[in-house]
Amino acid sequence: MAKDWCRYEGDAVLLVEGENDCHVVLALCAKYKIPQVFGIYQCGSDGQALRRINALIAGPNPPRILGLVIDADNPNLGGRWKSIQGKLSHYGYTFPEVPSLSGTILNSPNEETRLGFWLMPNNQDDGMLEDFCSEMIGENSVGAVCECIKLARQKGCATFKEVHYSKAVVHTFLALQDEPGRPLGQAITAQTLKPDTATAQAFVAWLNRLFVAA
Amino acid sequence: MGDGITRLFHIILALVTARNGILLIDEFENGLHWSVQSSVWKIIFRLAERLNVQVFATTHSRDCINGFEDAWRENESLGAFFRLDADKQGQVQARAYSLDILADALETAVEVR
Repeated sequence: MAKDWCRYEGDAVLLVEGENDCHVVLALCAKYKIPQVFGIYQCGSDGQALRRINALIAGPNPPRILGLVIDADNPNLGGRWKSIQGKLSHYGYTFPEVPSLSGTILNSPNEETRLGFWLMPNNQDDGMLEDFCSEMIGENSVGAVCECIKLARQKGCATFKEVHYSKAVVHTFLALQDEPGRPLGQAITAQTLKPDTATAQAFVAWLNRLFVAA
Repeated sequence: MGDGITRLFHIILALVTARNGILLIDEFENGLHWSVQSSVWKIIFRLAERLNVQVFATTHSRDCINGFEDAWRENESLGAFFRLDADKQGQVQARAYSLDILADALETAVEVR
């Protein structure tokens, strides 16, 4: 059976919401040559990711390092940060009032597990993985893509919700590239999405601090 | 009578006998089909409260823990769950689980035993 890169269970694990998140991180790890000292586990949803981190900390042989990459939505950055704190309130971690801009890393005197949190896109704004990825579209192209979406709306053939605007942007962009409709991770690998944004670099630095420098 | 109903009678009789005391049940799930374990736990919760018995049960069975969680959820203040582990020095350590942690572990198939 082929190795499932998004279902790693081990001593140093990055939990992500879904398959797209997993492949984006894999593509960034390859691009930035991050040492393979951790694995990724895609949980299926934001709720499942929170449940899994809660269960793993208390479990037998808890991971030495657990990272969580989760969208700053449902409902927004502040609400998401509160829901993480609420879920993990029975452990001895001291959470800062707001997430650290460079990615939060926490240790507890009571627990063996070091925790890391990255709220997509940048620990500062409400949003999601697609906001993180849409920054990787060139500036000229963003303008053209937004025009496309505006036109589609005027013609009544756009039904997406406003909260998913960045999803519409990034997938419209990808629909128009060679080859059309690549998934996000593959688009980064193919350099269709350029992963050299300041946010992507900060994310990579957080991964290195959490897993590699530990 | 099958082993399951015999086991249930044993547990109920032991609960009555242990009135105002404690009852220790080793390997709770022995003889019980997985599908009835939640119901058996609910009976134990009810009788233990009525008869003032503190029940300690051990298990290695995920089915048993699933059934316990189901019953505990209906009476959160009456139950507690601990996982016993040996630490690096070989000393037994007890890790207390809240209902929330136990439910999350069962839901995400993270080991609790």
